Formats: sequence, structure tokens, C-alpha cells
Amino acid sequence: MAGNDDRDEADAARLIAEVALADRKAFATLYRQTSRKLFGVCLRMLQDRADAEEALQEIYIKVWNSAGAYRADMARPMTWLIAIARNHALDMLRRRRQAAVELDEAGEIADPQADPEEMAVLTSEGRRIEDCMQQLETDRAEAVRSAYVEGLSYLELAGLHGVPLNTMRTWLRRSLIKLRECMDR
Amino acid sequence: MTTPENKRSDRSRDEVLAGEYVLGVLPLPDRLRVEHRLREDKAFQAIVARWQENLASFNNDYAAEAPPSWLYASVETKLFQKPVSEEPGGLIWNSLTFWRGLTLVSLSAAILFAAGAGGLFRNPQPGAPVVATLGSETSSISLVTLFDRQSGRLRVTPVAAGAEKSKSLELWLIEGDSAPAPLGVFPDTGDGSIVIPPDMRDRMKEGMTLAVSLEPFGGSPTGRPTGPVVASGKIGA
Repeated sequence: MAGNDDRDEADAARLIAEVALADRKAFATLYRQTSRKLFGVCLRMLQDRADAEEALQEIYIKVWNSAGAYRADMARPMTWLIAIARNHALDMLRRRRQAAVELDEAGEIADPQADPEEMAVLTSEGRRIEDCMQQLETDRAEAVRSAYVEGLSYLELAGLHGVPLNTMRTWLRRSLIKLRECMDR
Repeated sequence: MTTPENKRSDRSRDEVLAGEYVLGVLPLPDRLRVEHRLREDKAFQAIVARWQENLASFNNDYAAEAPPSWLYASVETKLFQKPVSEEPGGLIWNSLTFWRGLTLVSLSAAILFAAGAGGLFRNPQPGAPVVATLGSETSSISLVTLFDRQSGRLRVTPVAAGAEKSKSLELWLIEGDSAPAPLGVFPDTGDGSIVIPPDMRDRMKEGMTLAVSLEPFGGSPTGRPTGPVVASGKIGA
């Protein structure tokens, strides 16, 4: 129910604000309300229970330490918390397979050819991402989604889809441009 | 020189870079560069935040799953040295984790007692104390109880649950913000109590925190807690 979601969000935003003031009871409540979801993120991305348990501890330590940086006008509470969890898991994933792999992977900076005029609009509410995803080719949409949800790197995605690394980079960058245009429309 | 043309192309480049960052496909050095920039660049922060909101519906793909019950106490210990008490002025063992575990343990104990005390304890040598282990599958501790028929005294000692001799429970004293000091390891036989080292005895006073952590068999190899804290509480008056 939308009403409940709104209330939950207001609740979570208030809890984060209290955590920013070093309120440990609020922190415990926030943990109780959100740890199941964040643990799900860790499990899905890290694919290893012990790693996920270690990650979740570090994530809540980050939540405690960075609660003061939360801006309710920039992100919904759950989006913010999941971003912290995903970023932590991504750092772990990328560190796991650093070295040789990353040398190949380090790419040149993105230089999209799309008309920049189209992307300059920042104010639009944007259409729902799922509608826009349907406008991508199926394999591109799958690559975008599994990059996000599972934290796959360009190299892994390239292997999975059987295309060269640079092709995968182009796929995802063009897809991002298309999504941005679609949501701004 | 910055021309409007350049600005626009920088803008679209930032859009893609922010999108790549939020998707998570960037290699580590690039990720770190983006994070460094995020600390300074407010406009870029807004672009990243927008992608995060835009892609947030992908978060529905993550199935919620309960983390293990010891995990929160471990977070608290890492952040604050000692877990917060739910009850004010509490006695030892007032951690939530402990009581949750204990409720399960108590329940299984009650069932076992209902089934008849005769079946609960191992058949004793005459005069020797009888032993039972009370536990649950979800708790990281069990209670080993020793029953002395002659005195009628039942002694209860927490020990690490799970495979025999794989883990031990270690008791710690925490004074303010200082590092936990080891007080001893609970014997896994259930046969007894911990003798507090003489130099620690004067420090056992009101307001100090006692905590029990799950450690490798025989106790922490480092002299500091290495495993999750399964229980903690302040020493009462």
C-alpha cells in the first residue's frame, strides 16, 4: 500500500536522522527494519554466506558513520541504504579479482556520441525505468540488469554474453544513454 | 576554455560515468576516482543520486533474508566496544541476543523436564553429578547443567554449541573505552566456574561490562575477542 510505504519511508528517514545524532536505540531499530533487505543484497552479489555476513557488519558500521551525510531530498532512505550495501559489495567483488583482470578492464573514459542536448534536462521526473528497459534490445537489457543486481564487471558480462570487452562497454554505455533519454522524455 | 559546447559534452560524459558507477561495472581504480570526485563535486553527486533513484526498482530483485542473530551484537561491539543494554541497570546476560537464545533454550529445557527428569540426565554413577546439555539449533550457546542429587544443587554453565571442541566461550571485562581484558574461558564440560585472575579481581566492580564471545576452542588466540559477542551486560550493585 502506498500509504504504508510513505509511512515506512518517513520512519526510516527519521531513524537515519536519529542515528546521525548517535542514537543507538534508533540504530538498533533501523537495523531491525532494514537488515533483511541489505543481507539479501550481500548474498546475491557476493554469492558467499560468510562474505555476506562480514559485509553486512561493515555496511552497518558505514551506516552509523555516514548517517549525517544522508540527504532526504536526494534519495529515499531505502535507496540510500541499498546504495551503501551495493557499493560495499562491489568494492569487495572488485578487490577479489583485481590484479591481472583489472589491467585489461581499465577502460578509456566514456565518450558517448549521443546528442548532449537531450541529456541536459535534469529536472524531469522521468518515466519508470522498467518501461524504458523494454525499449532496449533483450540482451542489452539483461546485461544492464545483471550488472546492477549481481555486480558483474564489464569483463564478466562480456564472457557471459560471448562478446568482446569493448563491445560490452559500448552496449552498456549506449544503453545508459538510451535509458537517460527515455526517462527524461 | 570552457565553451557551452564543451560543457554539454562534459555533462553527457558525466551522465554515462555516473550510470556506469551506479550499475557497478567500473573497475576498482575508476570506482575510487569516482568516489573521490563525489566528495567534492555537488553537481556530480546529484547525477549519481538521480541514477540511483532511477535504477532503484532493480532493488526489487533482491530477496530479503534474515541475517544470523549474532550479527547485530557484533556490529555494536565493533562500533561501541560493548552492546547497548535493553534494560537499564541490568545484570549480567542482559543482551537481547542472549535472551533470545535463552528463551529457546528454556523452552527446550521445559519440554525435556516435562518429558520426565529421569530421561533428561545421563544415568549417574552413585553419588556422581548428572549432566544434561540444553540448547537449540539456532543458538550459538548451550547450557550444560550439572545436577548433584545429594545436595539438590543444579549448576548451569554456558558453553559453545555445535561440534564438540570446535568453539569455546570466553569471558571479558570491559572498562569504559579500553580494550576488553580476558577473564577466562568457560570449561566445555560444564563442570564449573571461572576463576578470575588475581590481578583482575579488583576491577570487577559496579559499572564494568562483562561480555562473552564465541572463540576458537580454548579461547581467543590473540588476547582480544575475535568472534561474535553472544552476551554482555554491566555489573550491577
